Formats: sequence, structure tokens, C-alpha cells
Amino acid sequence: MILGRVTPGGDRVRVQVNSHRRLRKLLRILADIGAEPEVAEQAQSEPSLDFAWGSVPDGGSPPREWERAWLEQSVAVLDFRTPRHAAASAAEGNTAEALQLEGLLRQLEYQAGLATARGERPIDTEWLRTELGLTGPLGERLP
Amino acid sequence: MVVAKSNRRKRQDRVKAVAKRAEQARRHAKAEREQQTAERFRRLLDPLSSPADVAEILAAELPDSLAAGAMMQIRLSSGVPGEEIAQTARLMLAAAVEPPQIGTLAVAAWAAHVTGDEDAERGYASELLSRADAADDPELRLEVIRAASVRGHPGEACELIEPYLRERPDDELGAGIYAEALAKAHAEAEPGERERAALTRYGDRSGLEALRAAIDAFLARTQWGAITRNWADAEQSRLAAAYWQAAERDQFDALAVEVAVTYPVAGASGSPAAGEAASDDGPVNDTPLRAFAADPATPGELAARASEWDQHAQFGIWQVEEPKAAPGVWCTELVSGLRRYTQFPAPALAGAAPWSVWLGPLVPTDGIWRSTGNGIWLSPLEGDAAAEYAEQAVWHMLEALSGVPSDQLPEPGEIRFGQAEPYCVRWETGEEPEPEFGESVGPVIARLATVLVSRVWWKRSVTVALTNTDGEPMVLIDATVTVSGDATERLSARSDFGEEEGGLDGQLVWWGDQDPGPSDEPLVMHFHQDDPPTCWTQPGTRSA
Repeated sequence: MILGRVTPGGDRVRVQVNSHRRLRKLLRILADIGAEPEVAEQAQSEPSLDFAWGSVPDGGSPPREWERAWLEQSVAVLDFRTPRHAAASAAEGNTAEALQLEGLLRQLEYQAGLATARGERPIDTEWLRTELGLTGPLGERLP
Repeated sequence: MVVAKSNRRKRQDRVKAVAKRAEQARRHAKAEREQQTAERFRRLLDPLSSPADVAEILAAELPDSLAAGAMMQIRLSSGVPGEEIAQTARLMLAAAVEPPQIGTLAVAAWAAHVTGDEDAERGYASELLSRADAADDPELRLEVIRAASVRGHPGEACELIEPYLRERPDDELGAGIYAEALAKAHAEAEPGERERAALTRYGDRSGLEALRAAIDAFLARTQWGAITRNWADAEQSRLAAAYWQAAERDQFDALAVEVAVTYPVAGASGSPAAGEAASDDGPVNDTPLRAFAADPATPGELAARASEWDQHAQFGIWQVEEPKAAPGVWCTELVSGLRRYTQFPAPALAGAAPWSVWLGPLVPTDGIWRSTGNGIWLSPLEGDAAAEYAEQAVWHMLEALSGVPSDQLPEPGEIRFGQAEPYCVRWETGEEPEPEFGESVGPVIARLATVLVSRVWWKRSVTVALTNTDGEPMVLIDATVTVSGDATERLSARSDFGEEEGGLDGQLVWWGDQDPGPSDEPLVMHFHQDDPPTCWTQPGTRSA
């Protein structure tokens, strides 16, 4: 079971976890190995059920800001990978990842449809699909 | 030492050599034939090939196939003039030994079409249909109808296929051809008279509405009304919550009545009257629908429609890729993989977004699949969770029926909103539906429908907190941490850290030692409210 991810970067590491307790525990591990950890920056979000795949788009934000951010953010139901990472993994033949990502995009397309019907600005799912290279029919994209 | 071969051995060697040469010759001939065939098909597709060449090749390669007609369509689309198509047909007809073969008739139908001779075109199509009937080949018949639609006569194709579908509403090939023809007619800027008529027939819900009204009247005058009402009321009492709005109560009631009309619910309701009704009418008429169909007072046409509903109705969790009537919509049942081209009442489609999921019954009326309008729309995420739950229930039921002791059957799980596998993509992965499994799905979903609806509304109403597998509130944290020394190397040396297969370059995964169970899903959800009771009662089974 995955508790978190650590991405090295010289004198800094990027830490991705899904609770404060796990962050504390990981910092303790780093301290125990003599790494003298200090949190320099920290971003956090509390996912709601319907947006377990990312934060809710803000109607007031500039066009595509949400979409650009979504592509690079860790998404809970992608096992905290970013959509870009999941798409790359899918392109390399990871079917499970391809299906999860397609499921997420369909949920976003559904949400976009509802937003359009309400007269709100929808998520630009077509742009997301183009960015991720997921424009063709799913059956043709699977290995 | 040299040992001379015996005469017997020499004979054997000669036989082997002859056999080898023969095999080589066969292979060579086969390769040559394949090469010639490939060259002939290349010439068929070459717009510069002469009508005489094309006629000769078609007569040799596709004498008894409708594909010969499809070749004409391809040649037309690649710029071959209509006159050359007509010339090809004339040559084939002239060379034909009476009666012309199917390939020749198919080409002649296309030629008549491009020259505007509709009578001749209809004549050739009619002859092709007769051949299909004489050969008792329904697939050929359907393909002849499809070809008529492709040649620009979708209205006629609808007329031809509707009687077939009335007899076989579950036929997916027929339904697909009908759907193509309807969509073609729908897309025409100025549809012809036959196309308009086909679209009108498709959109005409009066047959279903008349049936519904007659069933309502039947319920009102027989004890089936009380049985149905009692069950729907009992379901509402069992599952309703204070936060339900009046519209939701009405939706729930309509769906519950639909279940009670279609499936035996007398035993489930526990109503003494229910038992009486079932025994009075005998085991066959154990649903209002069957009792209505068997009632001597029911007009024959309505009885036939009721029987069609009874035999074919399909409760399901239907995903709709594009819920815009054109004029129907394709629905894919997420548990069984069944596909139905369905006509929805306009108000039911209003406001539905792409990939919406319809939880409710689809019913054929005179061969046309229609939504009764009673059901609810789910999001894809909700559809995934409902489908996963329903599939577990179907397996539960099948295991119970196969004699697995009840104490060995798994306990019903939760509806895993946000955690279920992506059922919405399942039937595009090459997985084939299993017809026998599919037959069990409808009754199970019918029995679960009220529970599923109540759980979806409950989920929409409550604050849901996500927790991780340690039960801690879920907060997605992305932090940059300064470290001294080579922290990565020291972490890698620990047994609970390691590189993840397919992970980012150098990225380490921090592993926990908990057994994650069958799913490696790191999320669990905790609902801040007591769950409504889960109900996996066995659905009423149909007695044929």
C-alpha cells in the first residue's frame, strides 16, 4: 500500500502524502536518517467526493487556468499521479491507468455538460484531451 | 564405412521427395492465387479500372456477396462516374446465367440508384430480399435492408426492418441497422415522405402510453392495484429520508411501481393480499403485467404489447454517451454490456449531460425500445458505483442459486461512490458481454433500483469526508522539504521505500505494511451518517 511519494531534487525533496499525520511521520523518518528536514513550501487541498479527481474549477479564474493546473496536479483517484503522468503511463501500455484516466475525463465531460446547461463556463475537456493525447476512440488507444 | 541404402529406404525417399514437391507446388499455387486475388481487389478499388475489368473481377471474386454492391459505393466515392457503374451492371447482367447471382443484383441495385431508376432499384432490392427469404438467411435480409439505407432510402429501410424487430426486439444487428437508418433520416435536411413517416412512427409513444393507461385502469379495478401500491409504499417507507423533495418522492414512487408491475413483488411486500392474488391467478400470472395480458377483457393489441414488455423489458444502469435525440440514443448497460437504441420522452433527456447514466427500465413497444420515462439520471461516478454494487449482487444471487450455503456467501458491501472501478469504460476494452449473465442482470437491478436511488440521493445530500486507509481525514499535501546530505540514498536503503515501476525518474514510493485487500485503492470514504440498510433480496424470477 502506498503511503506517499518522495521525489528527489538536490537539497530539497518533494513530498506527496494524503494526511497531516503521514506528513509528520515522513518528516520523522527523514529526521531519523539525519536529513534535518524543514518544510519550505506546502500546498494542500481537501478533496470532496465529487471532485476526488481535482479541485473545483473557479468560475472567476482566467480561461484554461484550471485545466492547466489540473494536468499537473496529483489526483487522488489516479493514485496521486498527475493526469499527464497517467497519460504517459497509459501511452506506454498501462491499461488500468488508461481506463482510470478515461473514466475521469468522462466525469469531467459530464460536469462540463451540466455547466454548459446552466450557462456557466465549462471545463475545456477537448483541450484537456488534446493535451493528454487522448482524442481518439478509447478502443483504438488500448494496447 | 559407407552403408548402401536398401531398396525399401530408396522407395521411401522417393515418395517423400514427391510429397515434398507436391506440397511446395501447392504452396506456390496458393501464394500465386492470393497474389492474384490481392491484385484483383487492388484493381477493383482503382478508379481507373474499366467497367469490363470490374465486372469480370466481381463475377469471379464476389459472385454471391452483397459486398459487390459495396464496391460500387466505394468506386463512386473515389470518383468513378455513375455511367461506369451502370456499364458494369449491364455487363454483369448480360453475362449472368439466369437468374442473376446476389453480387450481380447488388451491383444492379447501385447502378439503378445512380441512374435515378428507383423502380428498377426497388425491384433488384426486392429480388435480393426474396433470395434471403428463400435461403432462410435473416442476416442476408438485414444486410439487404442496410444496403437500401446506405443507397439513400433510410425510410424504406425502416419500413422493411420494423416488422423484423417487432418479432425480435433483442436482435442487436437488426437494431443497429434500424438505428443507422433512423439517424440517416433524422440528419436529412429535407427528409422524404417515407423518412418523415419512419421518424414519426419512431417518435410516436402513443402505443406505450395507451398500454400504460390500460394497465393503470387494470390496477385500479383489480387487487393488483393494492399489491403494487402496498409494495411501492413499503419501499418508500423503508428508504425515504426527510431530505427527499416532493419531486424525488414522485420519481421514486413511479420507479417502484414500474418494478412492481414488471416483477413478482407479492412475496417481498409480505402482503397477505399479495399471496392471494398470486395463488388465484396461478403461478404464470404472478405480475400485474402478466395478469393484464391474460385478462380476457384486455384487447389483443394491448395484451401483445404487455407480453412484449414482460418478456423483454430490461432494467439497467444505462450509460448514454450523447443524450441528444437523433432521434434515439444508444444506451449501454454497464453491468451486462447490453446495448439498446432507445427513444426517450423529450423531458427525460432535457438537462442530461454527456456520459449520463439512466437507472431505470427500457421497454420494447412494437419492436422499438423506449424509456418509460421513469428512472433517474446518475453521474458517471455514481453509475460506476451503482454498477459495481449491482454486479456483486448478481454474482451473489447466482452463487446462492448454484447452492453455495448462505453462510458462505459474501456480505453485501457498500456502494463505493468514488472508489468503484470505471465501469463506464468497461465495454470498450474488448470484453464481451455474456448473454447468460445478462439475463440475470435486469431482475437484480429491478430489485435493487429503489435502494440504489435512495443511496444516490443520500450520497448527494450528505457531507462526505474522504479518509485515507488509516482513517485519517484526507488532505492532499504537496510539500517541498529541504534536506541535508543524500536523503534519497538513505531512504532507498530502507525496506519501506523503493522505486516505483513506471514512476517518475528517481521518485521513491513510501510503502505501508497494511494489507490493502483486493484493491490497492488508497482512498476510503466515510459517510457522516448511518447508512440506510443494504438490501440484497433475491429478485422475483420470471417463469416462462
